[in-house]
Amino acid sequence: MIYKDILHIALVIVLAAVLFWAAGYSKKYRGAFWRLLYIAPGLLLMFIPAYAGFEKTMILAYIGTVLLFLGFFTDKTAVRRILCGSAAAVTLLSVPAALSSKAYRKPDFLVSFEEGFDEMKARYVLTEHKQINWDELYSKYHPQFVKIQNDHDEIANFAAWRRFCGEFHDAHVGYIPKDDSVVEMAMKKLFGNDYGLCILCLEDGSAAAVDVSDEVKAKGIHNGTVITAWDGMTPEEANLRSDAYGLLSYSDIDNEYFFRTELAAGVGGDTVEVTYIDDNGQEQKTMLSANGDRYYDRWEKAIMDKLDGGLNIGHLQWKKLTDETYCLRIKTMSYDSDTYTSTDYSKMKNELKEYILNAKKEGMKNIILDIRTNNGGDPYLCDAVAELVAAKGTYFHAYDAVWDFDNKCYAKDENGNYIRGDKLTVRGEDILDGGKVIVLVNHNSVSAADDMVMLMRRIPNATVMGFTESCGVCQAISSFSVDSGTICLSSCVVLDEDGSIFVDAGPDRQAKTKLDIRIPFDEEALTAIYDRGEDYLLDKALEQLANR
Amino acid sequence: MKEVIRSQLFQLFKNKSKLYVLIGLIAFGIIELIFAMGETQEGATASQCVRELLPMIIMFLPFFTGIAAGDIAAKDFDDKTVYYEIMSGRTRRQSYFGRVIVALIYSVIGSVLIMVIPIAVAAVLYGWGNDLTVGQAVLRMSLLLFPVIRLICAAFTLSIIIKKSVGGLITGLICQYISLSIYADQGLLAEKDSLSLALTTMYRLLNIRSRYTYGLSDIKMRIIYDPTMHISEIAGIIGVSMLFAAVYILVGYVFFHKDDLN
Repeated sequence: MIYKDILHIALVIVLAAVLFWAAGYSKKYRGAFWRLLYIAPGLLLMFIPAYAGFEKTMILAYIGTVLLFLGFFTDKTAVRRILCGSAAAVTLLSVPAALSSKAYRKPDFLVSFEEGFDEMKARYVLTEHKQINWDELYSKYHPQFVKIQNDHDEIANFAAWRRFCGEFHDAHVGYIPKDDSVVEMAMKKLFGNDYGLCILCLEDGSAAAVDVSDEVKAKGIHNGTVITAWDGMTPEEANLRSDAYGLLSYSDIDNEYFFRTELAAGVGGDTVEVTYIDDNGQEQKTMLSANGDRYYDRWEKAIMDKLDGGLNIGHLQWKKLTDETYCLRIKTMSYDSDTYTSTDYSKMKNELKEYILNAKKEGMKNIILDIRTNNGGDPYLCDAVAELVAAKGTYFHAYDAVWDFDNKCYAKDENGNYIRGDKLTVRGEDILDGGKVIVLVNHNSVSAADDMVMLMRRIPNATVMGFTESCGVCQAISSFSVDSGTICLSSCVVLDEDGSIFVDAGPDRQAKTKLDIRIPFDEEALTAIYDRGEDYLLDKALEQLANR
Repeated sequence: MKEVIRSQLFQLFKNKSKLYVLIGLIAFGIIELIFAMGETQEGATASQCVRELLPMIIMFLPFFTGIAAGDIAAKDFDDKTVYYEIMSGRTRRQSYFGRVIVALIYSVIGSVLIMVIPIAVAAVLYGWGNDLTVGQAVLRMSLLLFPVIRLICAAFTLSIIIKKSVGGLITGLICQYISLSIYADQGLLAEKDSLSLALTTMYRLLNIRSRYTYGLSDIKMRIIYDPTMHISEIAGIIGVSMLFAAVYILVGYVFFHKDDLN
């Protein structure tokens, strides 16, 4: 129990004892003071719920306080003493009542869902674009939240919200629980057991083991071994059976397809039967044992770090790869707090320019912009970088949508489409004097990183490369709080050159952020990444520059 | 009871101090308006005042209600008027509730004037605007009267119990402290917008739900206010405020009824 509730209960018990004694004492020594003493519980009742917050499971304590307060309205000693005794007893009962209730000091998950749903429905700017059926979503998820509220299951609440947000296929739609420790607890529980490997699909469609532990290697499975069945299912089927399925939402369907087996290797009980093709091309079976519910940790290491990691240097730091090629790592689209609230990136731009000019004296010709696992931020940083490296010319970035100040909403034309407002463009300075730019992306290059992809694809000397496309979301976000957490969503419209929604996919789930060159995730890539620990994409980018 | 009410009203108009406090607070509201709106960069409107200025005015309202209610409740204890009233045949109930009625009428009317006059001046000078409609503003200001009544009753009761007008001032000071801690976000209270206290209820009414969006080209934040209120919320505000007000008055009456008035 929180200390404020314990304090409340303790104060009621102490007051009950004092007033019990005072009931008899005041008979002998009459005066206003003794009558006033009985107002104390009333003051407690007024201030304690404000100080501690009203809590339904503490209702017995509140009733006890009221009983104590009723002593003010009578002068009879016996009645006062009965009230004191009853108040103490009822208040003490609130301790087991609160401790045994799963709902004690927990948010109301159902109310949070209903409030969050209504707010999302009012604010989400891509309802028509993505053809969101709100009624269907409500029918599907409302019963789940009713059960979650009854069970008061924080993990189930988090999972339900994640799946609900996943229905939008919009990485800008998300839920963060108030207690952020729930995230890790939920992920660990739902991702399942660690059997010593992950499974990823190769370019030829086969499902291959990656990040294989030594124990599993001893059984004949190594990095690149093709897995044909997992626990009696294909890896794709096992992926769908994972408790974590739906928690990882992909805005673009191609990215979802790439990762169609990433959860499979967490599915199963204490042991799991795995069918694989050995090095001689023979199908073999083996049993793997669970090593605790740690698949989430392995998945993080295998996918987030090894596959998606990006160049391991600081944000906006340079690395000389060859005499002619330097890499600029951009981990987030922000520079400092001053620039984030303005559009002026001249300071950052001048710093980058100075570096490039100095590097050119030493032979720099080309730049690789590594925006893998870039979590987005300010699109004006993209403009500043693009202006430096782009060939001379003016390039379209995006359109702002017209805001209707009277009706407090985005204006729409007679066909129900958003109206193009201010045009954002970028003027290339060609600081590289015709040099090439390669932009490395992955599915975790989000939001303003998607912005950069769209911009760079319009620039003739830039090439976008990766295993997967960037995330595919670009409408700006806002957030709001409900009792159980915070919800963010796309709420600020950005438009493309033709007035259509910029970047974000419609019902076809094809975002506009395509790759210029898709690097196949094949055996060669797998071996380079998981056996030799190489940055395969970066090597391919260098190869591309050398071949030009 | 009518005589009690009449005599209290006579005292009200004879003794101008409470009136000066009322006029002072109205003037304060208007000065705050001109000062605050003068600093607004563009498009000051009366609906903006409802959002931004009214919370400042409301912070000082408990002083007025405390002084007014406290004075009406307890001033007559100083010159023993209460004793003579009861000795002359008035029942304690008539004496008590007569004062309650006058305190409520005067304090509520004064509170309405303090809230409405600066907003009306703003409407004349700057126009209404579109942050919220006139109807929505009237609804919120009307609902504000319920926690105000709760405060009036609290101040009245405290003054009756201690038999000193300063009881109202004490209530005002406590409310001031709580108001400041709410707006300064000091974390004193678990929820700033609960119905537990009159001040948190007032904060809830004045803190209009909003959301924001922004443009890509100018990154200026556009705030959209949502002043709609659910029926359950309105019923809660009225119900809880009136319940507490009734309890305060009942407590005051029980005390007054049994007190030996020494």
